[in-house]
Amino acid sequence: MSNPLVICEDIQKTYGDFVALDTLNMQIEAGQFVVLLGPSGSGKTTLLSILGGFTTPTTGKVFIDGVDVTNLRPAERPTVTVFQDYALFPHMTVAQNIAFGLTMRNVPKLTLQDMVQNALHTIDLQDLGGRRIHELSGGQRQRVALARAIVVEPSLLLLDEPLGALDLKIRQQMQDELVALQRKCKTTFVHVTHDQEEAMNIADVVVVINQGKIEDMGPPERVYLHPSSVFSANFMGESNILPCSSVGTNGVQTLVRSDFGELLVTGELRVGDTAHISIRPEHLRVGHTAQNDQKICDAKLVSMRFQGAYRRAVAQIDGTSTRLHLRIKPEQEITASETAQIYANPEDFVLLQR
Amino acid sequence: MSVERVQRLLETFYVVIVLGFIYLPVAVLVTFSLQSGDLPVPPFDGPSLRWYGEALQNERLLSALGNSLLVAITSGLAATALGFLAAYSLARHSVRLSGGVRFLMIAPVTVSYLIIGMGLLITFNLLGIGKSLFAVILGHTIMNLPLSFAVISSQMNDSHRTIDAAAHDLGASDLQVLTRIAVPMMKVPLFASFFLAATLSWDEFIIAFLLSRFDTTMPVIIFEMMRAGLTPEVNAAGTLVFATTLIVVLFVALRILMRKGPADV
Repeated sequence: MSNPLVICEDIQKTYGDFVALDTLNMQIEAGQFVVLLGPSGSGKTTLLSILGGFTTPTTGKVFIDGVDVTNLRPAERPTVTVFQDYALFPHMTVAQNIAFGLTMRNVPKLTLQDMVQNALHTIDLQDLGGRRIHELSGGQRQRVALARAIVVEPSLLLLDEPLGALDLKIRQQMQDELVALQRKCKTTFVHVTHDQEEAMNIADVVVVINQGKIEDMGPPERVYLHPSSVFSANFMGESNILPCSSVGTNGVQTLVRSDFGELLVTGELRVGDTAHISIRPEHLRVGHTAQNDQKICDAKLVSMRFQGAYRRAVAQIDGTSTRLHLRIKPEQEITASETAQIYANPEDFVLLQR
Repeated sequence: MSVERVQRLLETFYVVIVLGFIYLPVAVLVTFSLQSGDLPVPPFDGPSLRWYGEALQNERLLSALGNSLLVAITSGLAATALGFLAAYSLARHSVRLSGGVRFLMIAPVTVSYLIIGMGLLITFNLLGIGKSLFAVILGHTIMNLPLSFAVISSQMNDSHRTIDAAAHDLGASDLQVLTRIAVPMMKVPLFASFFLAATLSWDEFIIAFLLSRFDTTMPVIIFEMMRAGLTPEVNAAGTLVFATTLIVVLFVALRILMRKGPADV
C-alpha cells in the first residue's frame, strides 16, 4: 500500500485546563471519504481545524503528502476547507466566488474561465454564474462553496458540518451529491458531522471521536456491526449494552455471564474480569424464527410502537430490571404486555472491553 | 359633523402643526433668500435671485464653500477609514477587554461639541498645531470617529471572520483579504459612514469656529455675516448650505432604498 496522505502524530490540543484533543494518532489513505463522527465538544471540529491549518496543535505533528505541515498557514497547505456557513463572498457573483482561489494562484484568464465553467457544470449551476450569492437557495450555496474549494484542486478537502444548515430532504440529496462528487474528482474528503446516519451514508471510513480521543475507526459496516467500545456502539445507531463477566476463556472465545445468562462470544476476557456485551435491536428476534438462533431470555414486552418498516419494542428481561430494545416485523402477531421468548444468533453479540 | 370626522380633522391639524413647527424656520429662511429688498423681513417683495448673485460673487463666501467641501470630504474619509480599521481589528481578533475598547470608542458621542472643541483647542495649542483648516479637519475627524465606528462595527459579524478565513485559505494575503474581501464586503456601511460624517462636518459650527482663523468653513462665515448685519445674502448662503445637505441626503437615501436584497450584501 502507498504511503498515507495524512498522518497525525500524537496530536494534543489544550485550551487552558480543557483538553480538546488527547494524544491522537490517525492516518488517512488518499482517495477516501473519511467522516469524523462525534457529539458536539468531542474535538472533531478541532481536529479538522488542525488539518486545515486554522488551529495549531499544542504538541504533535501533522504530515500531508509526506510534508510536515504542522506550522504552515492554511494557504500553504494542499488543503481547502468548506465552512459550516459556507463563507461565500457576498459581494461577488457565483462565478467570481469560484474564480477567487484561481485568481490568487495567478491562473491565466482563459484557463481560469474554462475551469470556472467546468466547475459550474460539475455542480449543475452552469446558468447561474452571474447570480449574486443572496439570490441562491441553501443547497445552491452549498454547491458553490464546494465548487470554489474543488476548483483549486486540493489534495485534501475538509468539510466542517457542511450539511448542518440544510433541511432533511436537501441534506439527503446533498449527501448523495457529495459522494458522487468525491468519486468524480478522486480528492480525499474529510467530513465532520454529529449525524451517524449521514456518516454511514457517505463514509468510506468513519472515525468515531469522543472526548478528544478516537474511539473507533474503520468502514461504517465494521464500526456498526463490530464496534470497538461502548461509546462507539451507542453512538453509531441504537444498541443493547449489558455488563458481563467472564466465566472462562480459550483465548479466542469467552463464556460470559450477563442478564442473558451464559453466552459464548468472540474475544478474550480473563476469568473474573468484567466488560460489556452489545447487540443491535434488529438482531433480537421474538420466537425461534432463524436457524442459527438460540434462546437468549424470556422478556415481557413493555411497550410497542409502529414505525413503518418495523415495530419498535421495549422488553424487560424476566427477573431483572434490564430493558431491551427490539425491532419486530409488522406482520408478526404479538402485542404489548405479553411475555416473549427472545432469540438471537450468538455471533451477533459483540464483546466490548472499553 | 360626526365624531369621527372631528377626530380626523384634529389629527390632520396636529400633523400640520408639527410639520409646520419643523419646517417653518427653513421655509422662512428660503423664502427671504429670494427677497429683492435689503432686509430679510416681511413684507416679501421677491422673488428675485439678486442675493444669490451677491452671495456667489462674495469671494470670502466662495472660498469658505470650497473649504467646507474640503473639510467635509477629508474628515469624512479619515473618520471612515479609522472607524473601519478600529471595527475590523476588534471584529477579527480576540482583543483583551474588547468590550471596554468598544465603549471608549463610542462614548464620546455623548460629549458636547463645545467641550470637544475646547479640549482640542487646548491640546492643539500644547502640540503647537495652530488654528487652521488642518486643525478643523483633525477636529471633525475626531468628532465623527465614534459615529463612523458605531455605524461600521454594527454591520460586522462573526460570519465575516469565517469569510476572511476562507479567503486566506484560498491563498489571499492579508492585504488581498483587506482590499478584495473585507472592504468591498462593507461597501454599504462604509458609504453610509462617509456621507454621515461628511454631512455632519458640513453643518458643524462650534468646533470649526474654535479651531479656525482666516480660512474657515461656511457655517462660521455665515455666523460672521450675521454679526455684521442681517441681509438676504445670509439667507441665500444658508439656503445653499441647506440645499447641499438635502441633495446629499436624498442621494444616499435613494441609493439605499433602490438597493435590492439584504443590506449586508
